[in-house]
Amino acid sequence: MDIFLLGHVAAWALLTTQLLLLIPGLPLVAFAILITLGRRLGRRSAWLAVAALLGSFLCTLYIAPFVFQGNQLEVTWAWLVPASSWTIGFAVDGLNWIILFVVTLIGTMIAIYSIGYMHDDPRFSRFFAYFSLFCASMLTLVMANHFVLLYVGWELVGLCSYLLISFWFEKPAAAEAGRKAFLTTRVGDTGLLLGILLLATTAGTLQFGDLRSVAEQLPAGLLTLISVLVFIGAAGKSAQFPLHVWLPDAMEGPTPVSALIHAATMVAAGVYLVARTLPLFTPESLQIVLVIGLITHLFAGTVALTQTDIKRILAYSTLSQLGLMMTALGLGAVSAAMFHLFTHAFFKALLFLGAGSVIHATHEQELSKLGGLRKHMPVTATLFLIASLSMGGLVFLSGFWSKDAILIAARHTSPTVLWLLLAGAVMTAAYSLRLYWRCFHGAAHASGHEHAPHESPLIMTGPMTLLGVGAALIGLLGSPWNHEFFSLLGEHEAHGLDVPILLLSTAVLVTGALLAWVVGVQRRNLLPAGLRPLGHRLYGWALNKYYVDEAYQRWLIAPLLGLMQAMARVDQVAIDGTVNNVGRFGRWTGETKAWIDRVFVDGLVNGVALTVRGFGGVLRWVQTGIVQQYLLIVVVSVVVLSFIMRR
Amino acid sequence: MSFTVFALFAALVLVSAIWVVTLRNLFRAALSLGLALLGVAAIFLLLEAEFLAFVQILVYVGAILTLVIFAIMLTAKLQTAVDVPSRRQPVAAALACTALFAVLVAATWGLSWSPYPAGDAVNLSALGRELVETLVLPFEVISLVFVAAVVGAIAIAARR
Amino acid sequence: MSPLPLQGLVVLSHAVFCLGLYGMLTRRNAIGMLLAVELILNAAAMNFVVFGRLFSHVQGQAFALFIIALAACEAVVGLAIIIKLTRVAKTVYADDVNVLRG
Repeated sequence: MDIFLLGHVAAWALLTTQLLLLIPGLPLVAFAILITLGRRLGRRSAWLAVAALLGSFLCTLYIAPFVFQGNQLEVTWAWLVPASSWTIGFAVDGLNWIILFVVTLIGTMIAIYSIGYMHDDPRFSRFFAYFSLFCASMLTLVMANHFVLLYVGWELVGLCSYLLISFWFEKPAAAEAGRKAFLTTRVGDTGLLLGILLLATTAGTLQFGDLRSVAEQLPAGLLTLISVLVFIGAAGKSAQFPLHVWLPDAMEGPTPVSALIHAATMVAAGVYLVARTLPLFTPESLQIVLVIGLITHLFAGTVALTQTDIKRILAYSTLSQLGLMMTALGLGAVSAAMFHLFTHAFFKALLFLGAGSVIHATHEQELSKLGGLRKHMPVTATLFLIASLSMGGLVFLSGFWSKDAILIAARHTSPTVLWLLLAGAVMTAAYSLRLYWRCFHGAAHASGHEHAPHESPLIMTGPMTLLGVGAALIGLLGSPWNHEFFSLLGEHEAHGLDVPILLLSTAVLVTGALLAWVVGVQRRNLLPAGLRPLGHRLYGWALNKYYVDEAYQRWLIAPLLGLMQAMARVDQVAIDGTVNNVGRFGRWTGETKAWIDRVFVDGLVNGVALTVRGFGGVLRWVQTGIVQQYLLIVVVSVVVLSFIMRR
Repeated sequence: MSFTVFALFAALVLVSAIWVVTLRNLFRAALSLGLALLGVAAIFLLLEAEFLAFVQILVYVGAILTLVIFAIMLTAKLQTAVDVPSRRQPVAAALACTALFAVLVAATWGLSWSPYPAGDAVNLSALGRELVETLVLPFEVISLVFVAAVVGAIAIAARR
Repeated sequence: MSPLPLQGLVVLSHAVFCLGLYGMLTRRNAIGMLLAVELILNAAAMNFVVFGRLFSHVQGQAFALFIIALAACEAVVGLAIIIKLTRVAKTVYADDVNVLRG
């Protein structure tokens, strides 16, 4: 019986390894077709992209049982030198299967949603082309078993992010934002590249499978350095402080883009990278991860409380949640971090799609212009509420389970971190509910519309609903009653329900809701009079995002631009100078040659002519026409000749 | 012959030759030429060439000189005033001629044959016979030349 | 036979020849040049006769005769030309006839 099973498993394994190629392959083919033939396909291009992603999702589901049994699927090629030990390829285990699931499922949902959202866009097919390329790159990144292949996917994902953020490049703000995103993540990518190179030169291998043995061989200092460099790359992609500045501006892109890339998938790539390379991380580097994560979490949370643009609030919320994930990694709780990544993908994507729905209906993004939309858009409102409560951590909803997992890990490690996380959770609840209430409840502030806002079409609300189900229930996969999720990651023992944490997190949610209601909606100032000026100042700082962008501009960008211009000027002077001098030299040479030609050559020629003329002139005197002179010459010649010829 | 006689006549010839080439007055130069020709005739006589001497006087002095004097008289009024110098390039010519004279004399100074005449003097009948036997061609050609000269002279100098 | 003053005779003919040449080179008047030419011819004739006498050769005298005859022709033609020239160029001086001047 066991042999039979083994045989089955082996046959199945052979089949399914080829399927691994399809997972990134299908969207890649879709991209190739859409980028060339997209214009001709028109409306149908969207369905092609959806079909490709759906295909990838089905492949992911197909390989699920195999992975669930704790096995790893691999398909590899020999790289650089054939038959060498350096192989590169795809490998799927529990860790990246989760992300495959998230990317393909949520990607399909968002693709369907985009058909409605991007309906009127002139570059409809190109959007789906880029979308497909992004999915292909993300899947490559996630499935890579080798640092180099991961880096390829990493860079491609960055490229697609740039292309999609600046999709409406006619808006200067969008073009700027795309450039900013690309450059900021580039800084991070440089760190990652340095880390890869360092690892390659010291350890000699770049395969993820070898990381554990590498960690045992290399000295701790070197490991710390490598892991910190890798973390810099992760910090760039996952928008950790201080490389977070691109994410809020990236909201200039279409909302489906924000949903997919900047909420659910790409930004999670950093978290995945750290999780995958965790063997390289020493306690020192994990400390750094923890600190950065915490700073990001709290910093972004405070800013989110003050913002008035729907997408900005959601952007800072994403930043904050990513910080939370990094904090979890810093605490060493890999499974908790991945769980939160998983649930966050669902409810954050849903929140963005809901925001997109609102924008699609009202063409407004500012909270001051919105309000009372619950009447007009009940489905959107309900789903939005579910997602917000999930993020806030309402009991039994997905976000609750994942956040609690992190809080449990913090409790076991460090009380300080726990209290900080609880403070962060209060803020999370506060800004989410503030956003919900201001947008969907209260008096309608909408102005200047010809018609009242209406609910979005089914093609948009359908995927949203599906995500809503996920946002609500998917967390149950990590609950004490069903720990499928954790067993995927190799943790097989169940944990029970941690009651103290449950009570704490519920209290946090209630506090946050109250704060949101009182301060955010009713606009009452709770601070005592003495502290109000300080409060105002702190509020001002938060509203202006702590002036980080301004600081970058002043201390980094402006000097660099100045340096660049100075160098351009030097270059101009040197090159122009050189060119001009070459020209001048050429002209001088020409003039000198002309002078030589004039003086010597012409002089020579003229001299010859003048000499001849001189002789002629002289000899002319002989031709006097006077015969007697001729005769004299004859006589003289006779005398001379006879003298010469005497014997 | 006696050397003194020769020297005398040689001196005559030389002096008159010098007069011919240096005298300003053309008429006197022509007359000097006559004198020189006479001197040469005398030398011919000394050399026992009597016929030649007489022919010289008859033709040269008698005809040619006369002709020359005729020409002088015909062109007399064309001889302009005294401001025209009588001679051109005298120094150069003198030098050249002296040089030529030196060359000639140097060429003929060391003559190796004896001054004694080889045989008798030439007699007239031998001359006559020579003219119509050996030198008959030149003889006849000269008559042609005469005709040509006369015809030519008439052709040139005749007034239209 | 008495010796001839050979050297003297030869030198004399040379001298007359050179004088005649001098006259040719020097005289401006055309007729003056003609006179000099006569001198030259005479010198040549004299030379012929001297050597004819020395070698008892009859051709010496014959040639002298020819010279005289030719001198006559030449004088005739030359004078005719001079006469013509005086009519055309209205001058008797050779320099003025310098059409061939270079």
